[in-house]
Amino acid sequence: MSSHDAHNNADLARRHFLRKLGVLTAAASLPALLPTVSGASVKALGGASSEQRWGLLIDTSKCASGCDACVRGCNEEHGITGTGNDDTDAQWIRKIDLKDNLTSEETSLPMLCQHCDSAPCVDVCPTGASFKRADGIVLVNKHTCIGCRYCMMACPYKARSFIHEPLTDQLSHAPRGKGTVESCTLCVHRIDKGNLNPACAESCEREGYSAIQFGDLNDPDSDIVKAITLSNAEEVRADLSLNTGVRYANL
Amino acid sequence: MRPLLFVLLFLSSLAVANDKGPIIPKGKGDACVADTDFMRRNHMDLIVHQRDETVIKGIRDEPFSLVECVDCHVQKNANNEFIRIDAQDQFCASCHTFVAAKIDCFSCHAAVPDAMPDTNAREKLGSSDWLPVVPSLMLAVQNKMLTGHVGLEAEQLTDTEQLSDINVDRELGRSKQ
Repeated sequence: MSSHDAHNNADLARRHFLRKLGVLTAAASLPALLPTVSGASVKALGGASSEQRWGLLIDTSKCASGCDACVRGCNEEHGITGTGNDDTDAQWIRKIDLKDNLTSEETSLPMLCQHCDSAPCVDVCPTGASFKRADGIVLVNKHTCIGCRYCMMACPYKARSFIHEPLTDQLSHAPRGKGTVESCTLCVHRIDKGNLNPACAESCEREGYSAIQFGDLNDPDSDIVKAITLSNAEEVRADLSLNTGVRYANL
Repeated sequence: MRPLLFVLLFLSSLAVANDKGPIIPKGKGDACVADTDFMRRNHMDLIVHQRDETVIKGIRDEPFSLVECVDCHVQKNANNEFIRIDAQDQFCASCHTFVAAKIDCFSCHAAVPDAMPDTNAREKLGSSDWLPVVPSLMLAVQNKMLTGHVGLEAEQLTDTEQLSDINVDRELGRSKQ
């Protein structure tokens, strides 16, 4: 009997010891865990962060039918000039005029890369050149792009263009070259410098329409999110469930 | 003495590279963002690996930006127009032709800085107008015959000398950039 008691006591002692050890370890590791939980390290490194999701809100009721200010602004910003071949020239943004068959209501809107959350172009790219940056901008890494144009086929919005001719007059902030695919970058070169105003939005405002609004979709207090909520803005081809970053109001 | 100097200069400048290595045009300012030795051995790593940081992560606040490289190392011709940095005998090609390593950066990236206020047009690859300037007339003519560009100050690098050690142009009275 006494040996049994002694055995029990030893077990209890061991149990107590292990419990104390466990508590000590947990207490010691807590400070180490805290910084990663707060996510502070991502911002400290600089660069894009998933805390923001950049997007556009386009108010089609303000968009004028004959106007192409956004297109001109984008082309000027990125050094996109005609090459004499209209069919194959690059276009990062284009104007579309729609007419409802039932009501004969006409709508005009700019169509550009929608920066989808589940972008088909990113899914199909064989090299990983088409990628979504941490802050939601879908880009083509032209160092990796092999020019297969699968992304152009996959895009439901025909947002991507292929460059067929050798280019010589590129602007320093917008590298473009023959044999790669390109599309709207949401003016990432401006955003990364803190200028949160893409060329299309700036042009539209200069023209007086202010139909294009840029902002952080992840911030519930931002102007764009409030405007989207108020106007019940929708995605073009919402049936594809792509969760686009570009929303259209009054479609 | 002076005619002899000119003759010697003529003969020496016939080569775009000699047994001492490629002749590389001098860049703006006193020094590059890193040592010449470091740059010589590592610029390709900076260009290749740094670009992933910039494109994929959006980190642009490094000193090794390609735009900055072009800004400092680009040369101007006699018309005060920029010459494409990937043109023959310019900064990149002077070494890359010597080592026979083809580079393709500037089929996409801008080879000249964005239009500056004092230039009307950008220098196109392979074409150049030159104005005879009396002190360097012979040099200009000879360079034009060889390369199609007006030769600007060129430095010959040796293994031990830094760019700033070469003071050839001071003797000749050629104007600094």
